[in-house]
Amino acid sequence: MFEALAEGFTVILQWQNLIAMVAGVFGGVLAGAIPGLSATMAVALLLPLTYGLNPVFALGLMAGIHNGAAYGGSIPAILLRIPGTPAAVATTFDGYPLAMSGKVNKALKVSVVSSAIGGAASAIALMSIAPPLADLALAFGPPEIFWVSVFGIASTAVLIGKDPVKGLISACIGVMLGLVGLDHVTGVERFTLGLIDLSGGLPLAIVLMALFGVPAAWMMAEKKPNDNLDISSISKTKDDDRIRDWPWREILPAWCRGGFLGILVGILPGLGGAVSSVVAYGSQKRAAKDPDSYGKGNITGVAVAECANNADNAASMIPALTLGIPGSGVAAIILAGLLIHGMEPGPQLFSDHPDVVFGYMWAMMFTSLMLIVVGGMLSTRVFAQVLRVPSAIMMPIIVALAVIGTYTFENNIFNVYLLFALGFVGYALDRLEFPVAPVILGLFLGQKIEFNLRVSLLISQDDLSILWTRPISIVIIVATLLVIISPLIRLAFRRALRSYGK
Amino acid sequence: MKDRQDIIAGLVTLLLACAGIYEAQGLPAGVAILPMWVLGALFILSCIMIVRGLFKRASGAEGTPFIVEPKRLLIGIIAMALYIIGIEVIGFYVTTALFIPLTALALGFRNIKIITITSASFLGFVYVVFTLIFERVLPVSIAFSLLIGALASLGVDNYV
Repeated sequence: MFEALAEGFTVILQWQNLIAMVAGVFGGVLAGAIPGLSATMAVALLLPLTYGLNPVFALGLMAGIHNGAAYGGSIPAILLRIPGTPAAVATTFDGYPLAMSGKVNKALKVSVVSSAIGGAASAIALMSIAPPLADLALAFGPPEIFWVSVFGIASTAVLIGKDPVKGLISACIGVMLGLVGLDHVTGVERFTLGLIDLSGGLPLAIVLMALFGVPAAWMMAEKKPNDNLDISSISKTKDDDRIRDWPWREILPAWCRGGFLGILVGILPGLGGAVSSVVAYGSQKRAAKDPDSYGKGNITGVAVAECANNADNAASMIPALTLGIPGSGVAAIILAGLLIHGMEPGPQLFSDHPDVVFGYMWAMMFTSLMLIVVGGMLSTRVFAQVLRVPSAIMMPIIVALAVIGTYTFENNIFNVYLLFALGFVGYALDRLEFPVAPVILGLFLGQKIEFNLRVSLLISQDDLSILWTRPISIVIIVATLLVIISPLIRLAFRRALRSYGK
Repeated sequence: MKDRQDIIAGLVTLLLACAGIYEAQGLPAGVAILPMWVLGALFILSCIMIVRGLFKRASGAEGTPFIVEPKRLLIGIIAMALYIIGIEVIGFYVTTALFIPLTALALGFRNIKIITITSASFLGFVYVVFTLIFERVLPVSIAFSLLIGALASLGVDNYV
């Protein structure tokens, strides 16, 4: 493992990979700072840049965007009380009151350093937990991989949105989209509507742009022409933001708490940065000596929230890299990036491409630290100005980026029409509050689930009991069922508490 | 409103599930097994959503409309459709140079200076990153392709 880590370290320090990471962090902070653009969308739109490139370069770029966007969301959260990404919700609680009281610089500095600390801690967790987990995963046979994939989709579908039924419908839609095209075993065409261009299946990169980029652009078109964000009201008072004057006795434990909870939540599929930052913020407030000061401009609130939402990033890649189960939308796109570069995510990745996988882990570490330079130096000067860009201008630019990305994927204009058609599906899903991440996960894992199901049935000579008679499978089945019925358990628990209260 | 949307969405997914099951029935057994399981689950979940929506509707809950600004959304959709047709017919760069400013104007944004600077910057970015650095092929116009074909047939392809 240490040899592989050293190999990855050497690879990631090549100058072109360093440039990719800096560019990624810059692009990520930019995307995160614009409300309506998410890390997922930024990675999806910039994925086409990486076609045909060195995979470590591509992953360095994606790692930068992932970490950059998680921090970038805090800029409008602090300046305007508008979270740039869902993960920055908890940052608004204390960040905006700080900005209103003239402590913009202090809030942004604490935010960027906390993000860097959280991201670096998460990268260390990825480096230490992922390799042994990958070794364990090598013991999994087709039935276990089938159930692990089902667990990944089910947990994301149930936990990611407000409505588990809609989440599960999204997951079913995703799996069905993943099954469009020729069956790999028999060569039979399925669900292609007679279109020969669909016989190769729906390209994941195009579905990503259609479900994330196009609906966002159309929703921007719906806004008023000058609907940008007014940052003129922010107090420009020069605040006392020297690092040595920070309340270190409160900030250090907040980082520990935020880092730990962020990593824990990140490993669990489907929860994401928004959950980690809110959970960590709540925990910090409960443990504080002065809980009433939270929500009124307590700098520790910004520290814990930002540390937690960045600690979620690399940790969410632990199940993704080791088991091939993306725990979040960004993780799904990064795995799609690996597939585009000819690498199958899963335990074999660690033995087949150690330079790439460990290089990526280092990239998550370095891009976290780069945040301090890129985000800290430039955030107040450049990124705050990004908030002035009107939606009427952003809309055609996002469409053009999505079209470029789609066309350059296979140099095929049919894919651009497919993007347009799937854009309606994405818009409807968004407006009807169906979570999109389970669609992507279903699309990504659909073929894997089917392959392992068919291999399992081949091994057992069509005896379905192979799926529920092996010990590891039983454990994963129980976990899957628990996840699916967890909303009902929560509901029953809440009712019991209410009746107990009465 | 939201519950009516949920009922309609449930009906649409139910219809899709039924259509999928109908098609999957014609597939060989091994090929159909996972689609049938997933479509069966989709069928059940759609029914749950419809029934739940009907119960909530009886309680009279209100929600947000499906389309907030129909006219502006239509402009966005038509602009994108014309853009896609345009890049095929008159090529990527010319269409994009027209698409960004015209869409911004159609959406009611009137600051010509910002529109010009943003359009030029974006085209410059795309040219440098996609064409120069990463050497990606972007759509050329059909007219240009026809011209090249005509010149080639006249034996002047060495000059193209």
